Amino acid sequence: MKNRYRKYIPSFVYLLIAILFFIQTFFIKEQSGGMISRMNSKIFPRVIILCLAAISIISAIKAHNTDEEIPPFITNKKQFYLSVLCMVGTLLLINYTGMILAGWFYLFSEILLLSDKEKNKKYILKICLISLGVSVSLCLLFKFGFSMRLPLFFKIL
Amino acid sequence: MFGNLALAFSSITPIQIVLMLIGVIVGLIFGAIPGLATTMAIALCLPLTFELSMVNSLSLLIGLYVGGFSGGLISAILINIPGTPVSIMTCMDGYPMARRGEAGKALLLAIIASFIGGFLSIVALMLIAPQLAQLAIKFGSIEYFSLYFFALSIIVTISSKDVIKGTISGLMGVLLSMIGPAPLDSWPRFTFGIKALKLGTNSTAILVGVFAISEIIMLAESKATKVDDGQIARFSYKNTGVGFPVFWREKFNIIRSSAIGIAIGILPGIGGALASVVSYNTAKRMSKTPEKYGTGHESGIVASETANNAAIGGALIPLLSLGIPGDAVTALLLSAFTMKGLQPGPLFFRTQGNLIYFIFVVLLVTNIFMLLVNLFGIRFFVKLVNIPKYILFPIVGFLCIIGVYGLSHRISDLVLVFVFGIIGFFMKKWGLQLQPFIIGSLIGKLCEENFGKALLFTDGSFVPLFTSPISCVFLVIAFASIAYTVIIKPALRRKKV
Repeated sequence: MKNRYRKYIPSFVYLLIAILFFIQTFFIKEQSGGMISRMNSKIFPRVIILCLAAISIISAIKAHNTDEEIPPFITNKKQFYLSVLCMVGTLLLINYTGMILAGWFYLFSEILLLSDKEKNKKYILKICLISLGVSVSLCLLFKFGFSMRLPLFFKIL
Repeated sequence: MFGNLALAFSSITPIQIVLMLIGVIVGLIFGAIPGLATTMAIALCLPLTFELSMVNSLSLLIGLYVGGFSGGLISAILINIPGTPVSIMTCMDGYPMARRGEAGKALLLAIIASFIGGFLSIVALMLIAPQLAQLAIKFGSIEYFSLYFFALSIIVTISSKDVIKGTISGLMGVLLSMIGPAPLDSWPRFTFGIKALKLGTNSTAILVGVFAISEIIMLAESKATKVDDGQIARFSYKNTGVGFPVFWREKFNIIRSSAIGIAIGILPGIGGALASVVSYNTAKRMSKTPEKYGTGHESGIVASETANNAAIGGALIPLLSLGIPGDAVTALLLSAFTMKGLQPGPLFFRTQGNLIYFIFVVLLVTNIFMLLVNLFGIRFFVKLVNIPKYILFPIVGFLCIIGVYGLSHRISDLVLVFVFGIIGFFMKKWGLQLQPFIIGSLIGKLCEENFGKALLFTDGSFVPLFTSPISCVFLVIAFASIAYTVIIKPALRRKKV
């Protein structure tokens, strides 16, 4: 994305949100007859959506008038995407393998992602054990200490 | 009042005392570690309180609130980094004192000043909030709509740094609150074809995502994982000379700073950080030795810490008596109430009288716990300040996952947490403040509901909104504050330049 267009992206996204919500107002069901039908559930949202759209346009105009160099929104793309991937992986694991393994995966991958230390075998093993220890102890604490319904393993326990 | 307080005191159970203590300790930890915040602590614990009763849940959350506000002073004095923004002015004199070997004295002064400020603000809360609620009991749907409209106008006024971005953030929060059943006819709206949205969004999942998960993504993306390597000052409480005479000498400073803290706390959207700055500057201006401020002066620490803790009681006044959250922390507390099916506001004092007195007592007890835990546990917190963020943040993240899953047992809520984590990340990157977003998401639906009811009541006429004196006052204040923020303030700023 070229620098000169970058400054318009947020305003464009806000406007897009407003448009999407505005389209959705056409699918709102209406009560028939009486005062309630006049006070339908479209009025207030549409006022808010119009305000959002108007301010998005003002925001775009403001962005147009500034000469500031806008830095990239994601400075470290690899880290960002890995972080998102780590979340998706955790979600999948919770669904299929339960909380302990998902927790271990989340902690292990996030710590590796955040740490800027040299990642040799010894260090990775250390992080692996710390993550497993924390995941197991937190899951057991919440499951048996606070009587929370957590699927520890494969939805069995 | 004293009878009710005594009754509330006697009804406290050992479990509630333990929860208050845990809340204060966890709050102090989150407050002491730069990067973690009180809002994050409350957002994290919110899902965990679902299983608890209202009183137990409040014991924990208020403990977090009080502890979180005070924890910032530890890192502010010892490493010159305020753990929370409210302790920003404590660095000015706390760290210079620590550097010249008086860290123990600075910590004692700050801790006791925090306690006094907190205590005075709780007294103010007990005296002012019931009167305000008494006045507000006359409210009908017209007045309520105007009140919530006024609350929504806070979105603009708290975004004075960038009104456009603040308003966008707030409006998006309002739109988010509209997803799910409509308040008038309960038909699902804005579901975008997703079945899970038919019942609306889980506000706790959103709060956790926006406040906690987004911070972890920010950290991962920026790789700013090293805790700033400020030298941790050594300290001892022996022979500090801090005693009654010191505080007697500072009595006017304490009273003035408390009053400033309470007043600023009551004003929605301003918060403890500004209370601390205003109080510090006022103390400096009124001092006979202003040149000493910033060089390690006792009065500077007292002014800053008294005011920021005094803002706690102040911020709870509009929340409990009018149902208006003034900042992110009180917005989270409001969310805790609504999660239990309670709506703070004028009727709250009539229908939930016992709970109100319980809240007063919890505030008093947690304030005492804050003093004791800070005095005796400070060495432990100092060690925590040094824990690397790359270990701490993922643990906080996992606790969020467990908490939200435990709340609803739905994977869709965890999806919501992560989606709002990413949304929160971009909001921060694009300079959108989170406070207006949260206030909008909590107030939006209430505003719409009362708007509909008011128009049904007036047969579609807007005139009664302006002929009802209370409603008119709220609308005038709302429009005046918007006009001041959008038109007058920028004009004054331009004039200054």
